Amino acid sequence: MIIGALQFPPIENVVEWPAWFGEGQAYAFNKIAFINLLASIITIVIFAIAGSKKQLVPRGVQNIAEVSVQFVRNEVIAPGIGHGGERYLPMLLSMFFFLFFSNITGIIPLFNMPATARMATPIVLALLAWVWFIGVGLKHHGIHYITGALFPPGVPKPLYLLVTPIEFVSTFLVRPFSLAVRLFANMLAGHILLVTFSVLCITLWGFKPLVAALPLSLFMLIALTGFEVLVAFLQAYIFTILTAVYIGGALHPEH
Amino acid sequence: MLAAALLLAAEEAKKTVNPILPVTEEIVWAAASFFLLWMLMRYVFLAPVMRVMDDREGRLREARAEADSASSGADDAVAAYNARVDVARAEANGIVAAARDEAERYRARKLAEANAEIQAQREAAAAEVAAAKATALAQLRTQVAGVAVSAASRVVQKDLALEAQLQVIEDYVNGSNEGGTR
Amino acid sequence: MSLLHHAIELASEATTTAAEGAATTAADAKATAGASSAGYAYGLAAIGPGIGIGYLVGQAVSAMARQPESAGMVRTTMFLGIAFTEALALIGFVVFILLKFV
Repeated sequence: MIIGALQFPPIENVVEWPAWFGEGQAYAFNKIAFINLLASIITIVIFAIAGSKKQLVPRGVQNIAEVSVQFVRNEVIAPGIGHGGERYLPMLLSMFFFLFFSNITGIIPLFNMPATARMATPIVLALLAWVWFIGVGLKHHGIHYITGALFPPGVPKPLYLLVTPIEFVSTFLVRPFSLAVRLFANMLAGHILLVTFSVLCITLWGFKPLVAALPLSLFMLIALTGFEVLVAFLQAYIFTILTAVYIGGALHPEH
Repeated sequence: MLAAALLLAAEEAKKTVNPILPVTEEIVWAAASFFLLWMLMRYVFLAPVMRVMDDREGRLREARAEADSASSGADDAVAAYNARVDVARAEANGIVAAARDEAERYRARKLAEANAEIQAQREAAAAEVAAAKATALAQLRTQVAGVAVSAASRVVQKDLALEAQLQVIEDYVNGSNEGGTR
Repeated sequence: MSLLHHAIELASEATTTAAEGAATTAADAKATAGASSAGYAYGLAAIGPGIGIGYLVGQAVSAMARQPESAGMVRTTMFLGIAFTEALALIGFVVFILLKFV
């Protein structure tokens, strides 16, 4: 073994966390669960405070809540669902905040782990979105939603042999997984990048011949931390707006 | 040391599960947290915020409608003012036109008067000239007759009665005048 | 922080196992093959989405420059397009993780 050689830690060490209590049980509570719970609680606290203030000119926490409501209304629901989308505001808003806070812990000191870099959070929300948009389609169009999606009108009959399996796979199978994998892989990639440069910094610190390269590595680490803020916001936004687009597609299938 | 430790950790980690796959307890907690958040937002915490926002929007709409009505009132006032200005301008135009007519008439009258005066003066002058011409002619005629008579008395070597000769000349002139015109 | 903790904990036990070495050649060969093919997998998976996202964003920028009043709509659509295009690269990344670490 060369002392100071760069050794990346095994992936399990950077994404898996020991349970704080309930080890081995289905309710085992670890850091990921704590981050998820914290994301919920912070969001609830923000809205509880905002709802208790009724100032004409919003300020502070009230402003955050109202701006985010406006953001979800104008940037997610309006382009994604269109008219009749106001009903889905609570769900999409909760989703946005939950994902954003779960993502942003990746760069907050002492957490240093996005909860969405584990598959659990993305897959839960993606399956929820999947159940939700199919439910919306069935509720508003009955079985015609399924037949309309599988047999798109205006296609010559023999082509259904080709189109129907593709539509089935792309609409009903791939959607939840692409939704989950997109978020998960983005956050995991960001997390691994941060871990890589942190490990590089630590290694360079202990390895005298190359210690001059430390500032470069440190600069990259800081720049990537800033980039991760953007990614955390953007991935929460993209997940939410894709859910809105799927719901909109189920609500107005003609578009 | 660190590297060795990490390698050992890797050996140990072989036993653990795939890092891609979700873990049951994390699914449980993620689902529980999200449903807690969703239900609380849906039924408790979002409504007051939305109510405040709707109130504000309603108030803004009211204020805007008020401002619109106020501005339309101002528009009416401006229109009325413009109408009054138009009336006044028409009136002023009428007055100016009347004054111009009056001036025109006055000018015409004055011009006619002046023309008449000039005409009268011209006629008077012409009459004077004619009178002067007639006087001069009459004078010339008596002098010519006098000269002719004295010339004739020289020719005939005897005094001729001026009066009688004058009568003769007069007759002749009259006769030659008649002959001339013939 | 927790990573260091873990490492220090394990370091105390590490001295005993340093000599084990060459017993697991088959596993090592598999790990080596997996690591190198993981690199190829992610590199190849990044080509297409890289071109695609570049083209997409370029077109979106020219659309926004041509019609600044519809910039909001173009931006939303651009993000959606990036999300769909990027999915391919991310699946490549997942394959990388699977080959490298599993």
